[in-house]
Amino acid sequence: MRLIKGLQRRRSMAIALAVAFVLVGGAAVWHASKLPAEASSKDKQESHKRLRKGVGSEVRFASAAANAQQIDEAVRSTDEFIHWRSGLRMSDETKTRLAKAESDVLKGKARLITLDELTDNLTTAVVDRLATLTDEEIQEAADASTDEHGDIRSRADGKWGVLTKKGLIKQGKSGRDWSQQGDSALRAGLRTMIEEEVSDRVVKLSAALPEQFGQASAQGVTPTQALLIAYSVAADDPLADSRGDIEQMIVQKRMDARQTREEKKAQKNVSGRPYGPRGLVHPSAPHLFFKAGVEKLLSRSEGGKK
Amino acid sequence: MKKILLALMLSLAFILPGCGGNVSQNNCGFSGPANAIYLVIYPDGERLSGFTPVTGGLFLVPKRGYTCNQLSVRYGISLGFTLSASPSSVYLPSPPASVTMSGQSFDATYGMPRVDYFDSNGYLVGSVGATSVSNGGTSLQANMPNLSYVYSGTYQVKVTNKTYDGYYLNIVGQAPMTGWGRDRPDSDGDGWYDDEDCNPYDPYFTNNCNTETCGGYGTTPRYICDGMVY
Repeated sequence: MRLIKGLQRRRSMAIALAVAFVLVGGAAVWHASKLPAEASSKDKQESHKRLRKGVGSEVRFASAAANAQQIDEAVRSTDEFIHWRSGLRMSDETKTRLAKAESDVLKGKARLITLDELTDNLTTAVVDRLATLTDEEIQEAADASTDEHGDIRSRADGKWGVLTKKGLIKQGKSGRDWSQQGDSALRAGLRTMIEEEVSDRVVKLSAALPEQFGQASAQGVTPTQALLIAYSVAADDPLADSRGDIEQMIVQKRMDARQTREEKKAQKNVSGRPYGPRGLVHPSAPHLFFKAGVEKLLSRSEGGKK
Repeated sequence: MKKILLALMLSLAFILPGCGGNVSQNNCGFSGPANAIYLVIYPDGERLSGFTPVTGGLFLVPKRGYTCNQLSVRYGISLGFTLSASPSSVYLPSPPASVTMSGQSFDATYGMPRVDYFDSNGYLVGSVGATSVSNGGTSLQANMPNLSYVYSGTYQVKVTNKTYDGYYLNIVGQAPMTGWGRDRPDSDGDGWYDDEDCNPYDPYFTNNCNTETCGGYGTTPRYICDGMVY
């Protein structure tokens, strides 16, 4: 009997974790929707090329020799990159704090953020935020994560199938209860999954953009890089492809669906953006958790000086 | 514990028996040819389409309250040929009655191909059935659809063959076409054309009808909702 109860609890926990990830924004498998799980060398090259055209071209990372203006530009381009793709917008205060944190790290006044620290910060942010979610926020997350067909995909590539809105709301509330009780299994499970997601992204970014991310696994990442990785995990945005490529992808998607302008205007559950709430490529609700995650990262940077 | 959690997570989508043996409570798993177009038809007539994985194999679709064997799945192909349209430039106030498409693989075996017109943003502006296909399938004739609400710009004309079971799933290819003589109006001067503006007569409304902005009504300007700022 105890075994059965244990198994039931584990399964419920697993569902709650899946739901938590959808609520986070679907910390998803890194592969683009049409890429195979086992990427060939050619696929990897294509994946790297797409990353270089995306984050590699549109975010102007600052180097160690960067002046204040160049660091501000790095922060501004990061904000623009994330905003265009998901609608998430960096406040002026966050920009100022991020620029200061980035400068401190680049000038050697503060250390890089290790991947373990990044994972810990994100896990804590998710667990804490999960505990304080209101019913309305869970409902909002479900709405924001629902695609134009009324389905919710826990992964952008659909690998783990589809959730119903009702199921997500129910399990989201269970996850909140466990988080409020300080359930260590929830925390441990989420940490493992976030660790894998962060690691996946770092591996890809290191290979595609070695100048910027080559030392990430061994030494860590700058605050701006950490923020981009956190966003990628939260919104399940692979950071790949230029704006033009994404726009073309969306045009093709509309053509495949044979959608008219009138049908588009009548839709209440899609935004004009590829990612984030009601996103066209992968809808998710990263805004519920992202603010808390960024706050943790900046606090760590501000308090983690050498 | 890690392994148990991950295994349980992964097993959620695949734990329950069903069609193909790979089905969760909410999903049905199907296997199809690599990188093919699939069309899932639900008993209520709803349809869901997409592409199978490039290496083939399993893909999941939502059950939507049905059992897996109630769902019907069809497959098609995209030949991706570059076609040409004649005329390739159309005066919109007085368009020609018909168009000729040239290329290859036009096929009327199971019914006349479908000819769809898309604007530069990918929206469907017109659709007609072909009236004839040449022997050898290298040219096709079709009437021009109603273009009275279409504005100047570049369009794509896409041809799709019908499958043996009556679905338009085999995409032949597409051709560019230019429409001219009818400029798109922007009545409220907000930089968004009327046909893409949520309210063509209110400059505070642009094309962003359902996203993260708040306000945008009357004289209240649009602003980013607090929840989206970090």
